[in-house]
Amino acid sequence: MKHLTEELLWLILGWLLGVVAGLLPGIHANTISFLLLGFAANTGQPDKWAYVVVGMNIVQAFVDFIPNIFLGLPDSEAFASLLPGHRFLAKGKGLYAVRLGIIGALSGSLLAALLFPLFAGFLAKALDFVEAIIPLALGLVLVSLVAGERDWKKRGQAVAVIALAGGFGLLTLPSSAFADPLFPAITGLFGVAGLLNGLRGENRVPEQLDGISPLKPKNLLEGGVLGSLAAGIVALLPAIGPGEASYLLMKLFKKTSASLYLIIVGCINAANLLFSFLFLYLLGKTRTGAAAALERLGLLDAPTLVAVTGASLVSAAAGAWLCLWLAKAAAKKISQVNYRSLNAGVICFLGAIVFLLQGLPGLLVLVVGTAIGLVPLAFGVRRAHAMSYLMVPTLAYYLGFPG
Amino acid sequence: MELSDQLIGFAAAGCAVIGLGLLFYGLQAAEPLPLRIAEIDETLAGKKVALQGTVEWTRQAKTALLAGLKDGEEITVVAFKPGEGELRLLRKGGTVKVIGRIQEYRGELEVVIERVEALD
Repeated sequence: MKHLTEELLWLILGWLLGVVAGLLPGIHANTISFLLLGFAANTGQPDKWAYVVVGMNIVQAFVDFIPNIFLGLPDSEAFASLLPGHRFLAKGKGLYAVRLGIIGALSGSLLAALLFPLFAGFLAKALDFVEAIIPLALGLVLVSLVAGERDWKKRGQAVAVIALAGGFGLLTLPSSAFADPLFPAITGLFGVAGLLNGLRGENRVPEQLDGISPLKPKNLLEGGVLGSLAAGIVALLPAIGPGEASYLLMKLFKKTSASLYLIIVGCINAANLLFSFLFLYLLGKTRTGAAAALERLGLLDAPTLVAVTGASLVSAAAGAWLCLWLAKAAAKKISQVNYRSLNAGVICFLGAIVFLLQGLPGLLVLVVGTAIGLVPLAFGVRRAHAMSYLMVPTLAYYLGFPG
Repeated sequence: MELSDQLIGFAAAGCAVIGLGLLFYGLQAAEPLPLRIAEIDETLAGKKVALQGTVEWTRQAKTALLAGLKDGEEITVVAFKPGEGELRLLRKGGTVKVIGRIQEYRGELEVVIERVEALD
């Protein structure tokens, strides 16, 4: 029991860091994880730090909903092109959107833990096959993303975004000129580009209501099951993110509900982390920053996997409450603040963080990434095409192109 | 059905209860076996053990720090890419508790260190 109390105290430290990482755009748990590994090496207690890493990453998966939903709302006249979370915010239902994400992430955490034996069995039998079809699967994902646009003009524009973002990835990812181009590039492509787009919007967001939040049990069941399966796919296929996986699932099963989308994204975010721990244990491969941190701490045995899974579920419960509490506070305040100034402040903060961590080369990647991230917004096509920044170089790697 | 705080609380409580159960079980299973060096044999290869003893000697290899741990009998303990803490504690004459896994290397049993704690 003494150990349990001790591990819970380490977990709580992780939760606090997860809140910081989740609320501050640009500060990802991966960044903090790798700073912590420096301390961990000197303390001689890697197992304790593993709980900090797990707690932080799981809580961040929940708290991330708050900036993702409450920041970057563009002009509400362009309602049809809004991200699902922003659609709810524009209607005064931002808190409801966060609740959908939370229930999705909770169901994803539970289902992932339950699906571990099934997934482990599948991996043992099908891993070689999956590895062999990775380039085909990535190619199909790209084609599906393009085909999902509504007409040929939009499809052409989507191809242009894929070419730009993919070319940007091919240029920067293998280059030794940049210390870690992934962080400023993704921050630019998705974070700053979305926030800049938000500057075009109105100066106030509608008052956020905490009214009746309907939940269709069918949506919860579908979201949980589809999201957990998709998380397994995300864990297996490199360069595919929760957004792309959710979009493809919705297309595949002909679903259009924004509520279902948010449940699936929440589910994938949390379940993907748990599956990545299993993946590390079974194959020694790392598909998330959290798994990479655990690998560096040298934690690969079965009892530790069970303990880490348990710690993840406890952290999911804490993440749900922390996120709900913080989202209620954000929902109260968001309609009172100068929204453009808030978005502009966050942009400056991101620029400063990138400059502090990576200097001028990082800032250059951030600026170019932002410019490319604005292209899908200008065209009115899906921003998920910009994930080609990772998908195209990964595809090139698996096809044997030098890089 | 309403997506109320109560529903989220119920789901979170479910996660917490299952999670605490798994965490408790995992921690128990991950607990190292407290052994004397004389009790170690091939059947324990791969097991996590906790040994206490005095550091008889140390040797710095290219990527690892090797040390002889003695509690009457002696066994080699190995720290790969040792951190500052391990370098500080694994010094000749120091009394330490070593937690690690038993492995066979070139026909000899040794312990690959996961953690070192000072006893003196």
